[in-house]
Amino acid sequence: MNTHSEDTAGVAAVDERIIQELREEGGDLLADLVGMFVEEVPGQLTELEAALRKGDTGATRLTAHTLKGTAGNFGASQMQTLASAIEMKARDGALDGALAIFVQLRTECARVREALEAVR
Amino acid sequence: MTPTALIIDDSPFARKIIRHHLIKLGFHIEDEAENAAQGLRLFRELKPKLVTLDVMMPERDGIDSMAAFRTMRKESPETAIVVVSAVPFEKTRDMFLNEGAIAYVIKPFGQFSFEPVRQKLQRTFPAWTV
Repeated sequence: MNTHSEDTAGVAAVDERIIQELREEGGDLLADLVGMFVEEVPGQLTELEAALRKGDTGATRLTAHTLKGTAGNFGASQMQTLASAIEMKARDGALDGALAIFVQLRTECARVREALEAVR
Repeated sequence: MTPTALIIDDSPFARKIIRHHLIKLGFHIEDEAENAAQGLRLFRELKPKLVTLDVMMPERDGIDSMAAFRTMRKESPETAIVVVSAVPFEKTRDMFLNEGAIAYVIKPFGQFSFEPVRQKLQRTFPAWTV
């Protein structure tokens, strides 16, 4: 099955096993979760970028934590790692380099979205 | 009578998945909370039979998940609390289980994540529809 979930480094955008299990749960669960991702993540990225540009460590930490949690539910390991890195920087009160990580995170979120839209 | 449940988790995705699994186990979802402080308020108001509590939520209004867990255990030891966590450490799991959680479910959720919950509920609360 081609889910477009491999990047050039070969790291899957989402965990196919988790996606399969969500699908097997039946009903609209997977479709609903994908819909929530499509609807909520862009706004969260906008919030995160605004918080980073303001140097607001509290808001940065909260929003990055939310994105990390979102990623976890789909086994989106790269997205989770990047969001976690920003969360940790905010927790340490040192946002140096966080904006660069954010740019990678935004790209990764687009990749995860593409993978999810292909499987729902 | 259908047992009632309250879901406390800051992730709407996790709440959606937990809701799905609890309904499969026979629960009526009374409400959902997105932080520990809100969860504690709803717990006192709704008196659910079961609570799922995410342990990795940011603190709000001075209440974190651990404080909410201990308060719920003290105020209503008969309520079943399922701890949900992205932290797969045995030490953390054992701490919550030793303090009275009925199960410790690791995120991300899989097909069988809630099976230990079902088994524990069947042993501990056989009258519940699970």
